[in-house]
Amino acid sequence: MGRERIQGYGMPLVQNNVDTDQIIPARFCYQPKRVGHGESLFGNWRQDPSFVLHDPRYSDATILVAGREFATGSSREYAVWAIKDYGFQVVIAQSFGDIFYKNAIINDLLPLKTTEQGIESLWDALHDNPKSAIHIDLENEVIRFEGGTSPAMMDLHFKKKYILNLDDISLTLEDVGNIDTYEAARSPHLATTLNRVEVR
Amino acid sequence: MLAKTLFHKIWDSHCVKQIGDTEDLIYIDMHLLHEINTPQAFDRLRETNRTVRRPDLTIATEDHNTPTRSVATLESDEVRRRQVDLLRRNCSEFDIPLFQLGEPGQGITHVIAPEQGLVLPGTTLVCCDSHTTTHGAFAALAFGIGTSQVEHVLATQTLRFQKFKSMRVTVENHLPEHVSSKDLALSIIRHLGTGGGIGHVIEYAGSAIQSLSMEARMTLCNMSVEAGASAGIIGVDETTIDYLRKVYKSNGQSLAEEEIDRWRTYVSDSDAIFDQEIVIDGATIQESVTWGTNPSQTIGFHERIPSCADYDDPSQKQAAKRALEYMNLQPGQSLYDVSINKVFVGSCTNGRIEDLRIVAGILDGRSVHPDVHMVIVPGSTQVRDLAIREGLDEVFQKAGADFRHLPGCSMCCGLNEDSMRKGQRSVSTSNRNYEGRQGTEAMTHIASPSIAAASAITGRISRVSDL
Repeated sequence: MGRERIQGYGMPLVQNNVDTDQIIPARFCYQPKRVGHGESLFGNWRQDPSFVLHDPRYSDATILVAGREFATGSSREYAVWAIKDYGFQVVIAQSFGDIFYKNAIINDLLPLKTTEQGIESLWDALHDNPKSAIHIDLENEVIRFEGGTSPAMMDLHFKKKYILNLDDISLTLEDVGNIDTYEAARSPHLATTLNRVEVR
Repeated sequence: MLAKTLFHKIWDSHCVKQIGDTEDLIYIDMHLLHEINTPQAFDRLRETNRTVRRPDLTIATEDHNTPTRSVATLESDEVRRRQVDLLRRNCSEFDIPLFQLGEPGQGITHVIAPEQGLVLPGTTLVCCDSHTTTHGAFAALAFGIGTSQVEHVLATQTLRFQKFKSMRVTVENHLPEHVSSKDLALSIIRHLGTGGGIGHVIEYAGSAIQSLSMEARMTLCNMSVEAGASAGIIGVDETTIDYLRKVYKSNGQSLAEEEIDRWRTYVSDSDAIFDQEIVIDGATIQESVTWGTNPSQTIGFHERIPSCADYDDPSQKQAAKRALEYMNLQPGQSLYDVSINKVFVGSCTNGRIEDLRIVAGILDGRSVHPDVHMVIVPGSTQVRDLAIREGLDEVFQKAGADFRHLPGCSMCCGLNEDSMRKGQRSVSTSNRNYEGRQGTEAMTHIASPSIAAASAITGRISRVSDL
């Protein structure tokens, strides 16, 4: 199976506006590595034994299904790393915070948008049958699950980047000639940090 | 020529290359770093044998986790010390200028960059911090990025981005007396919701915006991200130019008149078309405070704490229920009924000299309520030194406020020793009232500096006019 088809079990996070401070509270962002943050995911909320992360019915989930405006707030990439480290490969939500969305794509965590109705149907399906598989078909842009389908919405170039697993920096460095040309034409009046001032 | 918005002018002039149909390679004029979100970017640079392309367009500061009382405190905390040490080592290895804790010029990234004259009209600026939107006050395109994008900028001085959408919020007339740009920001966020700005650059325009100082504009642009916006921006006018003239002068830098003429072009063309337009009557904006756990859950003093029944939208109902529980509030309560035990003045939102002057003006001749601990943290050493020169520190001291001498983010993000304890309740001039933001199970009410000062005196959420 190529990267355009993904399937797995889901976990319903029945909430909107889950900000990145909830996904990983700042005090958990102390390890200076990209990995090892799974235990910090929802660091405060998971203190509650009834939080969905502890529900054994969803212990095999690799797809997190959240509401709208998922991961707005702080720019911390730790939010993406924690979700990935915990074992999720996909987050489905109605909408995402801008910085998180970009961070997710770069880190190979698939952020998939769908409709409000789709989210609610997914939540219902996962509630009724936690072990019903979710099938994501990026090629046909559809999410299939027990009792329904919902559109899998993704900008074309993000989709391509995800499917081909492209690395941004390598791609950009292929255009280093363009960067050189642009730089050579920059105004000499622009600020630099070399002569930092002792502000009085 | 096609009419352009300010945002489009900056975008187009920084487009190094169009990539495919949707993505552009954008040149970054200034890159700010801090100790929390950067070590992984430097590690990957080393792993891939890459280097920092333009250290001369990069600057670092220590702000997020640093102590506010004494530098020695940093030595005694292993985790915080390691984060700061990594930044120092990385900056030294890659020749990046760094402001170390307590050095002249050090402070919160978004306070020091404008002081250093690093934020100019028509430029692009990024930082691994969502409140990078602050710098839009200078007609710069400034936005927060993640750690992997930090690595991208370090290696290439560019970013690959899809063009944002544009939104204009026009605020007509003038704000009433005592109503600040913080109140305006909270009102706009309440109107848009925390996601209303997603994918957009919000340009603030209109007479009420033109009459704001640069500090007040920075507060407004800073809070744009709380409405989900990618950036906030305000066109150049005489206020911008006067402020920059002063910065150049105080930094001993010369400024060419042609440069100023060029800056003046960084305004939206009169017939430019925005993807979305919102018009607000500034005269209707009132002093506002957050009651809940996101910055859109805001009310004015004439309103009551809402109940779930006040919301039609089921998800807002659910959010209100959760927020009421977390904040330990009852529907129907008045803001005046809410007792507090902490007040925080500071942060990249309201930690500038103008904010401290407002607070000192209110505290002068009055006392902080005995049940309240009021912490005032300057945004930079420059802000601190100015405050001391103007005697504000004495006013704070006499009133019983706790004025700190080391600048930093402090109580805003709860990463240093100033974070709040369980069950404590603050009025805070910072930007986020999320659950646990200022400390586990601590409760935060976001407000303007004047409301913070008035509340410190009465021990309840209050306005200056209530004193």
